[in-house]
Amino acid sequence: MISKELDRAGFPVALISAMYPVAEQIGASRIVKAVAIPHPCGDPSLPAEMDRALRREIVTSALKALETEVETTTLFAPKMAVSS
Amino acid sequence: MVLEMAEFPVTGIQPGAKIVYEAGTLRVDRQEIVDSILQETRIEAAWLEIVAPGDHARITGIRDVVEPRVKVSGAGQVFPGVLGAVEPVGDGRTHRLSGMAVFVTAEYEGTVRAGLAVQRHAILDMWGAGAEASRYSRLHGLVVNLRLAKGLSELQAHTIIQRAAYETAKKLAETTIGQEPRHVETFALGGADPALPKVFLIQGCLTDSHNPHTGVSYYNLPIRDSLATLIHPNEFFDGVFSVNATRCVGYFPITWDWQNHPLVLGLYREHRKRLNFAGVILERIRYETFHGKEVVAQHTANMASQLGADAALIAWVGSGNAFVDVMLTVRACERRNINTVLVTYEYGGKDGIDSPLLFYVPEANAVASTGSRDRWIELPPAEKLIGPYEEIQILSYPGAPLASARGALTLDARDMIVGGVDNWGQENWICNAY
Amino acid sequence: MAPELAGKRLELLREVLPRVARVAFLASGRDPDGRLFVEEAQAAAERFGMQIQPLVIGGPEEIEGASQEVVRLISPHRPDVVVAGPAFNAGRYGLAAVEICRTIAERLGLPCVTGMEPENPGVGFYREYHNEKVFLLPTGESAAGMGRALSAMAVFVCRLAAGAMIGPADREGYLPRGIRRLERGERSGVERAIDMLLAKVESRSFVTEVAMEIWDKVAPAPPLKDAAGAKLALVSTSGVVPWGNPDRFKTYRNTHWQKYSFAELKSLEPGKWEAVHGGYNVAEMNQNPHYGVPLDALRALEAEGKIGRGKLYPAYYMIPGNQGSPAVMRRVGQEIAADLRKEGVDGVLLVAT
Repeated sequence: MISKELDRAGFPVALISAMYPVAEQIGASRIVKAVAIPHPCGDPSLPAEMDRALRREIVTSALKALETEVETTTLFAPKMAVSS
Repeated sequence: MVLEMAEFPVTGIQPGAKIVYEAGTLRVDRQEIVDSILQETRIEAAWLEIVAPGDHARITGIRDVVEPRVKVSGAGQVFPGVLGAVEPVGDGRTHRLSGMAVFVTAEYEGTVRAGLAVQRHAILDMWGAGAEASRYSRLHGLVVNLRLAKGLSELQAHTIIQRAAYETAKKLAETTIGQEPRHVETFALGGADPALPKVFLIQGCLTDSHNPHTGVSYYNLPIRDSLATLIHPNEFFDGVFSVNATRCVGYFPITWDWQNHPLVLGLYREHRKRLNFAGVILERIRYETFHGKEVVAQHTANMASQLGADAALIAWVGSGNAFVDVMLTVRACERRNINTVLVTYEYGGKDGIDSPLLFYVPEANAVASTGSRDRWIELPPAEKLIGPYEEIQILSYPGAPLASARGALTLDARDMIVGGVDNWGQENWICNAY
Repeated sequence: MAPELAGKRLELLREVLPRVARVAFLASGRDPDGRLFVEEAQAAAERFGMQIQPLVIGGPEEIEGASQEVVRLISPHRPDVVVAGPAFNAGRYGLAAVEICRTIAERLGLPCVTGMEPENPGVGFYREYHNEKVFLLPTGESAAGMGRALSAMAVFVCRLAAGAMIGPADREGYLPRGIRRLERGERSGVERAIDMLLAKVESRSFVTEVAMEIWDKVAPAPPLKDAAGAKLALVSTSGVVPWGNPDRFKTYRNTHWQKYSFAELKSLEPGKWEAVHGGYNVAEMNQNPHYGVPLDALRALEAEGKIGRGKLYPAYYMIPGNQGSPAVMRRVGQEIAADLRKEGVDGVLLVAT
């Protein structure tokens, strides 16, 4: 909901969310797939270095999403392997 | 499996010299029960109170509500895995004291500050607006109040509170052994009528894998990241499902609800009349990734389909996150031509103008509403306070202010009242569109 | 609307509501027949001994002015009920009718009745206004259904004027206003659920008790030309706040938001922050707040030049998101947008749990 108001006000928003289908249904425009609900930007089961690298990759994807022209709800997937 | 539920209705609870059930009155030797409870050395103090519907009393610190039951024949005993051995139950005969419950309250601060593992307790008014809002206010209550030793972990506190409640409940039911019940209802699946539709109850069950007690246990084994499984409905009645006794909130079913599951009872009572009740699929929901949600929804629908389901009632436990799993399950079932009706509470906020649900699938075209979870409610001051707390946090957060439990209370949702949300349609609450 | 129908409309109105004496009505100034319509109506009114108050509106932008004018005209007469329409499939008319009814209901506290086909754009606004004093009855598509529409509206008008309690929409025949009331039904949820299921299985008709919501669509904002040159801000609903929860966020249903500075910080130290959120297990977030507020990654990208030096807004916006009401979140979004504009931010990362 918040991201839609930001879009409406003219701010490109990269929504980083593990529940991306919910975000899609509500109509957020730039959605970045996150890892999991309790830890969207990382994975505590990874060693610290890899966890940090994963976080960097997610944020980098978000920046890329902000630079991308989109017509409608668009999903961006960071390069990551997720343990569900 | 054939289970006879023998009912002994309670119309009043009185203190007495012994625990006796006679002609609807349960007399309770409070000292005997307290002595028994205090054998657990980590309980510093225990005291019992009796409440009746209509008393101008408010109970605080509620952690669980349990109906007294005991098995008199058939394998195993009630609350298997908690009170006794892991032996399969659901057969033979079980006695129940209906019209009453054991309410267990406990003062417990906990070690966790927020999140799903944080301890929570609930209140119940036995009169007025608060009573109107809860299915438990109609019950006569034996309130078991506990003060626990300091420094216990959540798992320790849960174990102690649960045991005190379950042992008391069973002890009370034992007084009916040898007596003739008022009424016996027999529960058995099978003998399906081929002309009738085959109906399952798909029961979504929210658990938190990270927590030592995940929220729902089966034979005292906390359910974690498991796929859906088939459960015989008779097991519900013998208490195989138990809950985290450090967390009691209005929108989570508690022990009494699992024992008296209204949809299981409803479907059973229609068995071979308008439908064939084929059983219960227990579906662990609230996966933390969307991938997990999709897999479990699909698996549940596959299972129902393989078992020959024509239709299913879908019920659930939980909140926003778990609801996504539930809607995906509806979708997966409908895509396999299993007709579904989803039974759910709604949101809508203070004035009922906000969205009733948070996620939808187009296939969810048949939804039964059990009313709203988050309409505000005003409670009047209480003449009598029962339980460990004189002051309570109305809002749940670290640093939340305390309000007098005796005073008038304004609650911004039904969460704080035990039974404040009708999870499974036992009541006739509904939200009507105006 | 054909001008000669003006007389017919008044005649029908008079049949169903014989004691109606004064009628205010809207006409479209842009419609070439509008003036003719007014003339016909005035002639008819004289025949019936009614008084007509015409309001000619140029277009939608004049609706607000017209609404105020109607309020001004109506209030000295102290009516019991106000009627607008029916508008059938006329979109501008429908919008105007809904707008005027809502204004009258809000300003004068009077119940209002209108009617139009369910696809009329006025209906969407009616649903959003949630005004329990305004009732919209569904009609057919065209004025051929005028008699039926006016009869239905008249019945409603009389009930309202008599002070009757109006029940739920599906029972009473008006379109719901998006207001849902918690009430006791005649049967338990279990009974209703089983009946609904059997109806569905047997292909009999049934009515769902909660209909699907259609979320509004928003056009995506244009992209940043270059993230490295843009001022970026972070918003999070994870609930990560300074330890001690100084702003008293609740773990559920928050209604306010805060900004927390990380100006001098390269990372968030565990123990100095905590996650105040009731909807997930916060153990991991507490051990590593970066899962919800990825400051370490933002600083790393800043060091590499992927985010401009000094271009990362030095505070993050927080509202713990559990059970957040959509209406509240919309308002919060608008407030945060206003603040972002004030601070000259260009683009936003929003971390949701």
